[in-house]
Amino acid sequence: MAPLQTSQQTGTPLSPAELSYLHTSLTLTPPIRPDSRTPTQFRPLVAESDILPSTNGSARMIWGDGGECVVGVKAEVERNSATSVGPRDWIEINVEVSGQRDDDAFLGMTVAESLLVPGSGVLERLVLGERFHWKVFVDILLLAPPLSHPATLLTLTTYLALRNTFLPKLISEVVEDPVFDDDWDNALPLYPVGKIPPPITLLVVNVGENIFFDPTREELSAGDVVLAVSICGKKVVGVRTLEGGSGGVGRAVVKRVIKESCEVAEEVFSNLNSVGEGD
Amino acid sequence: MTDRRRINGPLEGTIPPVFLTSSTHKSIIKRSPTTLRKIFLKTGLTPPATGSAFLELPTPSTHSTPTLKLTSSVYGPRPLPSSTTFSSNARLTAELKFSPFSTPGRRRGYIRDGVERDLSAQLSIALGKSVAVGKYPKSAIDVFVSVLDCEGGLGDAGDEAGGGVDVGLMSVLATAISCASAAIADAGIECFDLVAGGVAGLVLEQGGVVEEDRVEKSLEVGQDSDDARRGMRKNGKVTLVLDPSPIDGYIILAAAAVGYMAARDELTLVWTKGSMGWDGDSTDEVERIVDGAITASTGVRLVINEAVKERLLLGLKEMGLIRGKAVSGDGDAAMS
Repeated sequence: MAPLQTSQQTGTPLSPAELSYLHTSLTLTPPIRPDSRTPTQFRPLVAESDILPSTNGSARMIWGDGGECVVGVKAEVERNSATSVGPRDWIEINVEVSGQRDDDAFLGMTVAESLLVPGSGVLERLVLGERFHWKVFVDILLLAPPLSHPATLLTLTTYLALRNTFLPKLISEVVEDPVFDDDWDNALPLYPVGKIPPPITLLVVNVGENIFFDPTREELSAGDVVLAVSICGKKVVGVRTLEGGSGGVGRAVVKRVIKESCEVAEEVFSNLNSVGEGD
Repeated sequence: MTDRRRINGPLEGTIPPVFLTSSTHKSIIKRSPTTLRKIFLKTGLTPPATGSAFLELPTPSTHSTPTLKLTSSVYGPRPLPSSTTFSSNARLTAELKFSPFSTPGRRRGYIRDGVERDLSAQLSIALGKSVAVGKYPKSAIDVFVSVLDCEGGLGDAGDEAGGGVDVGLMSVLATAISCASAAIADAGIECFDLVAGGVAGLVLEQGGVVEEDRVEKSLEVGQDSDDARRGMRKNGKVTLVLDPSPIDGYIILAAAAVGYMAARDELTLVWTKGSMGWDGDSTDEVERIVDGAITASTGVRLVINEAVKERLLLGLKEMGLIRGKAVSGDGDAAMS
């Protein structure tokens, strides 16, 4: 089994008594989180974009607990091949977790699945004339694995990097070999303002009647259900279940989690979009 | 004078064989969108395992029909190796593997790839929440699911998805959950409830008929699904399809797979992807596909119940506790 999963399942640093104490304090109304955050409050983080000069777009984020994520987006011109149809492999996502031998399947799959959601219009922007297309490599590097599940950190950083990705402007005709404008100021954004933005994935944990965003590892182990909700613009484009809790949850709980993540995501998007405007 | 020193080819020449493409496989009998396919489920077919099950979906009409076939075997509860640390709960691990010959096009390797690891992780989550792991301290329960045939492919690069999301992986996961759950019951491991997997998708409807003719067009033109979306905004009519199959040829824009415990009315796993259109409130449609998937899994649950009951009656009969014909039919626990 994947090492991350078993370590989450069994490697909880809490004793049964501590776990029950945490569970009780999280089920109270209003709930009390160990770090005294409100249910929808995220942990403080430092974010910066455009840090790597040799990439088309990049971003870096640091949590307070030492987790750090660097994302670099590179684009290459590739000839349309006759054998592999479908623009599905035009975006390649690579997750590298430092100190772990193979990457966690979950992280890569979640990002890939939500990025390639049909109809988001990204793939149409990668077409270069009749015979060529852009191939985009999204390389995600998780330095110093954070104490909590890295999904939120990872997708927020990826969002920021993709938001700041620019591709050189095509100046040749459709039938010619691609020639690009060498003025970098004329480069076109991969995700233009006003179009559907890149997706983010929020980790949401449900305990009793309460819903918590950006949970720590302790909160994850005390939760009834842990859902990863992917949101693109105002739409939910994917939901996945994560390890945590025993026994199932009612369908009303799942629906409430989805509804609330939609509301929180709006706030997250507006905060992320203001990154870089301050400096 | 013929050349007798060499082996010559036939004088009149040969014609190279022409194979039909796999896309000619279309489901002949059209189902209504809310009808589930018939399931064949039988437990106890792998004697060395503690519990096992075989599932085929749908029950094949001819030998060459592509169907989804899986076997599942459960080993345990057995003691954890002495090197591992103390665990007050049973550790349930699930492993899903595609056979090299299971997909129609490309051969799958023996080494587990990302897709298989991801499905294995989801399977172990779905099952782990239903098993009473607290009853088996210091023990391990291992579930192995092997996919022998997966009808229309899995949405690898090169498969036809028609501009929508592909449901191949989702239906594999859902049936793996149902099959493994039957195997766990066969193994006699204590559970809170049996889990059944169900899949539902939302497709576009135009003029009262769920459109299928557009599939052909969209294979050629990638933009078609966008046009379809625009059309949908005008018509605003979407249909819920239960238990969609990759060979049905729908353009599915949003799909959900759930693991559902019917007796407790609880979900152990939710997996959705895709969305309809890009404006308006989306929580409604997610709720709708999740509800649809729950309806589908409730139907599947009836089949699991039958298969488990059949096995139980067989066991009781062997022990001489009941007499007469305990089992009706050949175990084809079918449903309409």
